[in-house]
Amino acid sequence: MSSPLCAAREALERGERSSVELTRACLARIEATDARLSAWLHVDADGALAQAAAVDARRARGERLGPLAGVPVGLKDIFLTRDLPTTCGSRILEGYRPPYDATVVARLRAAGAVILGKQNMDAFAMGSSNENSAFGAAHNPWDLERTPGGSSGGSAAAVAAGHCFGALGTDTGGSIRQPASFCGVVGLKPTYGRVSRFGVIAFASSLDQPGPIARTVRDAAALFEACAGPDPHDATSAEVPLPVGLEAMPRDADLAGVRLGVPAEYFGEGLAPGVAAATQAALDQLRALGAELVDVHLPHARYGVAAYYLVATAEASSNLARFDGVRYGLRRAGADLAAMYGATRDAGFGLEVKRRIMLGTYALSAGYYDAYYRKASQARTLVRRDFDAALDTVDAIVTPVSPTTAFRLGERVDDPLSMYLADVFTIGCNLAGLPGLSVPCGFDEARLPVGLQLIGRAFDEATLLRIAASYEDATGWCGQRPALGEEAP
Amino acid sequence: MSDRAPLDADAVRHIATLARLGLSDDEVRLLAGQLTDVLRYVEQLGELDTAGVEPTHAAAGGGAWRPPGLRIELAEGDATAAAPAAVEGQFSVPKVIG
Repeated sequence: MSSPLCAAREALERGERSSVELTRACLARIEATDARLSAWLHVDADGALAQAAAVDARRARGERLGPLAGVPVGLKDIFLTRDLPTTCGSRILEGYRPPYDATVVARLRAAGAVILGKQNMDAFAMGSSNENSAFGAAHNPWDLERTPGGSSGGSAAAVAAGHCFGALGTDTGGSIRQPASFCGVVGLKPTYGRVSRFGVIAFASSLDQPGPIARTVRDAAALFEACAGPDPHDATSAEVPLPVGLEAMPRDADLAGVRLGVPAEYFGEGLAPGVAAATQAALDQLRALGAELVDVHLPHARYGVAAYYLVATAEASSNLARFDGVRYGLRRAGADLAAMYGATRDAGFGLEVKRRIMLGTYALSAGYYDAYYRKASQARTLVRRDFDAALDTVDAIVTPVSPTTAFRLGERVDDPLSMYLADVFTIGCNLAGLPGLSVPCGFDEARLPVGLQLIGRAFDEATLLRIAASYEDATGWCGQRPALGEEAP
Repeated sequence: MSDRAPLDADAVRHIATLARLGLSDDEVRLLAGQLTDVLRYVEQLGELDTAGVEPTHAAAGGGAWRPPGLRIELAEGDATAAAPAAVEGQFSVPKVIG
């Protein structure tokens, strides 16, 4: 199948389409369907059309343009944007307009991308269902009663619904890969340090990583290439050269010589039958393409959720201290400074954010630090060593993305622990800092998309993209779209 | 870790004070139960022998230090433009010293 973003770019380059036409088409699609999806928190129609007209004018003058010139994209509302509101899905930042752009936003602009607006998300990226958005959950375009996943749920829903040619999300414990899986699109969580976090509102700084969501692997590669690479403004940004021309992967390449690890720990009880069947079929397909499947073991994988929810919440409790009613966002009056902080944070934060701040504060507090935070950080070392050992023997590890397909909105909202446990397959990548990719691998019995996860060596996103592109070419799952599109608005 | 008592309402209020979170009585009750569930779950980390295991605080990534001299320049008006209360380019807060 063709890749919509790459095809749009070529059509623009050949002068067959204008950016204004493409942008109008995206805005019309949003207008027709977003009342049902709530994928966007802010659509900047006038700004997007102005950007598109400016690119068209530059093209008409024969100017040299960037690699995404004129292509309409969306941004999760966690990225600071100088000219657009940035809420991070929370009331505490309602109406906030940042004074600068995140590095990745600046890079997208420099590449010529047209920014359509900001997409719905769980507040502060804390959630797996979008239900923690202060502005109402986004819905899954494959079944409007179900979650698009989270926390980048609005971005995945918007891409699946054809609102934009791609989007940037962030992934702290699966927040790109799980919604991509639930919505039947491609999501890449790059290696920690690969994509700048400067100007990305921090949740858990040692785990957070921005990355692309797109309809095909090549489209995701094009977005990744446009925004990745070293950034002096982010001290954890890695000085590792970025491969170029990633999206120009050969068509229908086989996987001869590729060794793929299959960890038994990810295929045990708790895996929904439809997910198990689609994943097994994908393994068979990968073997048919020439890959060698090898058993690998990740014995500490089962401790990942516990380690993750201590490390991530500890970091969050510190990062979210900045939302205090002084420099930006909401303020609620109090008799003194402490009362003002308490009242502001009580009014501005939703329940899940409070829950995580509380857990993290407890894990870091005197008397509990060693038992919780330090122990979790040591468990993280053990998880990381498992992956390093496995990836010494294989090129990538193949697993399901999530134990289930998209669940019903409201189904897990009263049971935070069950929501956390469902992140079991995705958090290992974040703890170990490795790249992970979700690619559509079929549907379950309710015709809900299933995603296949590929986990690779640090800074070897290229191998994940190449394997995924080969799989995608052979199966065509990425060409399937939700019926939403055919309904009369 | 395994003999940890469940969090009671007083413990939840104490943590909330440390976290500068005002919480309603309903939230205190709800969080006491939910945080107890999560803490019981994470106790499984106690099964791991971590003697001599170095903690990981950041994965892969780059160097630890920002290059010297790199600064983010914000115009004075830009820096305070989003503040809930600002006076003459300064952030304004409730009176701290009597």
